[in-house]
Amino acid sequence: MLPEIAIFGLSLALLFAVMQFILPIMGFKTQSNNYFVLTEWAATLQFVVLLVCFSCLAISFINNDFTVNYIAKQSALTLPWYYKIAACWAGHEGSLLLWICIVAFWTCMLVFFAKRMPLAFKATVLGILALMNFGFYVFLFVSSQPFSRNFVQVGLDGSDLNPILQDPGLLFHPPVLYMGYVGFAITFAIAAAGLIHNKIDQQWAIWIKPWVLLSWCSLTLGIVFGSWWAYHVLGWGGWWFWDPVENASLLPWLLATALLHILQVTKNQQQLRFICVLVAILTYIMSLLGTFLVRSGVLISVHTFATDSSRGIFLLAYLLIIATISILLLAYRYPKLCQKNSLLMISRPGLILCNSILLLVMAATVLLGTLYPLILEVLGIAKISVGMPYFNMVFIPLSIPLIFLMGLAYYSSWQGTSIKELLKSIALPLVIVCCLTTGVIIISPKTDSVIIYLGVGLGIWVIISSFVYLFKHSNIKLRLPITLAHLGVGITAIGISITSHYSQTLDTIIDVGEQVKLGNKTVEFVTLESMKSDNYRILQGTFKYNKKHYIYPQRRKYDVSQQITGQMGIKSGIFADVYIVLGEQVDQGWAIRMYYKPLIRWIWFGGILMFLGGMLSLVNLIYNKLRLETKL
Amino acid sequence: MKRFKKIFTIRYILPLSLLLLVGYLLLVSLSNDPSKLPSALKNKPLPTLTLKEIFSDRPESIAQTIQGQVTIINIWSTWCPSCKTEYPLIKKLAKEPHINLTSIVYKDSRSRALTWLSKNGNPYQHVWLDEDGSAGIELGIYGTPELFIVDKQGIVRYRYAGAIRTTTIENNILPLVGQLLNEQ
Repeated sequence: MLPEIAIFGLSLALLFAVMQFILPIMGFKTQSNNYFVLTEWAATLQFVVLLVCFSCLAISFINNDFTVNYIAKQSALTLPWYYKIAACWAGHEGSLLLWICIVAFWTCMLVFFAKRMPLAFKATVLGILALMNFGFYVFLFVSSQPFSRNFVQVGLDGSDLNPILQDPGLLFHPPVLYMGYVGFAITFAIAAAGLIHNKIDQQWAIWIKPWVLLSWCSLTLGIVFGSWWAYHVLGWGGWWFWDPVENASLLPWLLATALLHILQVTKNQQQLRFICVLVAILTYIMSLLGTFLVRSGVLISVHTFATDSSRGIFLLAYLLIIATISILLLAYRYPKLCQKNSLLMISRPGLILCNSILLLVMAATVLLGTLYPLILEVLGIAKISVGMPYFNMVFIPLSIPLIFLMGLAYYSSWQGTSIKELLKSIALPLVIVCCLTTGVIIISPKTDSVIIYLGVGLGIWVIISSFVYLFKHSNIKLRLPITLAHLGVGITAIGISITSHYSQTLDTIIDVGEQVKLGNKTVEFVTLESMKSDNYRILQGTFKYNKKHYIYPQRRKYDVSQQITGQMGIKSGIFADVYIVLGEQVDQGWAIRMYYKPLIRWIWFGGILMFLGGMLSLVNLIYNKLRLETKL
Repeated sequence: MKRFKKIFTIRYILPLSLLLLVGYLLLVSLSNDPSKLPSALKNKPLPTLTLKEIFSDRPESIAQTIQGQVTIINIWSTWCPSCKTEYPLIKKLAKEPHINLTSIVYKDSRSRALTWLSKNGNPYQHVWLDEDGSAGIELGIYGTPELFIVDKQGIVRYRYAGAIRTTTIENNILPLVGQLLNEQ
């Protein structure tokens, strides 16, 4: 019964979406505000109905309704309940439903919280969003319906959720990442509405900013979750693999980061309006491109959704339509938006612009690296995959000036600073940075890689500069978010530099009772025991690191799929992680892989600081708005 | 006026043609199947594999068994959902004339594989069991299902990763098998 209710609900939601598109048009024709108010209602109802549909899917999962194909594929009787809920978005169909739900959720938020936006403008935004969501409804109904049923197979126990996905990471990573990805649909709609109404100005920058911030925060957190998940579940000891799907999330992140900074400039001066709206639109298009790359199966990646070329064609058509409309709008308004910019290079807007351009270049290089194998293949030259070496080679040289300028921007002012003044104000911080970096060089093991120290030095430079910025002026509340986010960048930079250079790996074969050396510490294989959990059997090894810390890597064999997965044993610490993978049994014992990963937690800690910075900035926005309203 | 016209066209035409190019690229790559992996084994002899034949439970050399025939080897397992999906097509493939269809059960137990075969039907001439996945490493497979075509000289001529589709059978497998049958 529930799946039928859900299908009815989806049709109803589609109807509301159509209304949400038509009502604003009628409103503009008749010049009546009533239609705009009705549009808001349609948007709210759409979300409510979708919420019911999604709950139907979740409840069907919990009730083990295996007549639903999607549930039979993604779940099993013995699957714990929280994974059953998470399994809602573990496959293509369900995650598409989640996508639609999140668009509706953000739309609903926009209805309630964008109070300062004029009714007509808001209705345009809602209309655009409805049109965009409409495309996804068609996609859902035509090729990816999550509620399709098959009554013949009754009696099956379900083929179980892919064991690799059975991890707390699945509970958080996809929804949070989607909140970000999809959130850019709102920014896109506001940008497009701005172009339609010819209203790309300071006010527009104020309207769009909270939505960019929200999506950016979610995306940041989503990427951090994803990186941490990959680290602790895949057993390669890495935190970023330059996999096409990771790149797909990095692209909008880089663009959104640039957008946030350009907006800051646009909000204070009327400059850069064109590039601002361009980046706002590109961000969403990159989200769509990422979705296309992941779902269509044109690239091989660790995130394999069941692929189907008809889905690819649909998504491609959607992407091209959105992009064409955007280009036409942008080109039409270009002469009005483009102004002669007289931006002083050594001023805060100048430096921010500089860094934004660097971020855009980074995004372009990631895009090129991701699409390069496709280009070669289409031209029939070769079948290759672009990996780590390319990305490291282009990313490091771009990050160095980026991080340096990031620190420098703190010492400049909005109106412009003379070089002499700038040098005077950075002299002392630079000396401190040099001293600290020298300290790091002395205490760390010898190496001739200069780039590592450069990375650490730049990290320290950003951290010191952030503190100088925070305490030099009185208004700490306003400066705290910015400081936090940039502190995060500094900490991440240090983490990446150290962990990529000082990590150690050891592949060995040892038996119970034996010892090996990892670096200068001993690792002892203490015991091996088997256990049983709800839906899998466990073989667990106990290892003793440095004579005091116990580490428990596992091998799990899942009952339904009979698939074997490894569960890493990780002893995490502020300064280093020790990471053990229990491999296969061989003649002389067990194949074991160990990693020593210094400062790896700093990478994610930095990411979380960036997220917190963004959230605090949002809180500031809301607080200021409330204060303004009470004053009025 | 002339200048205005020039700018007008450029600012529309340039981004649109760029988009068209990217769109074309993506469209073409959609039809390029990434599962057609170039195999390290392609045009090389099949590695010497000695696996247990599942019904007799006795080890035998695959290369010897299939000698002199054009053979399709399908790698599958009972725990793999895509294998379940492609099974009807595999059965259809087995019914085609001159098809010598064999298979290797990858990382699975004998009893489960036997149950599967008795329940779903057995389209294969031979079924071998690769319990620990070592033959899978020899063959360099990515996952299950995967399909190899070996010619009369025991040389690997084709490899396909992922569940086969009707189009794969019609456009790739059957023509190639026909061609290989005519080779001396």
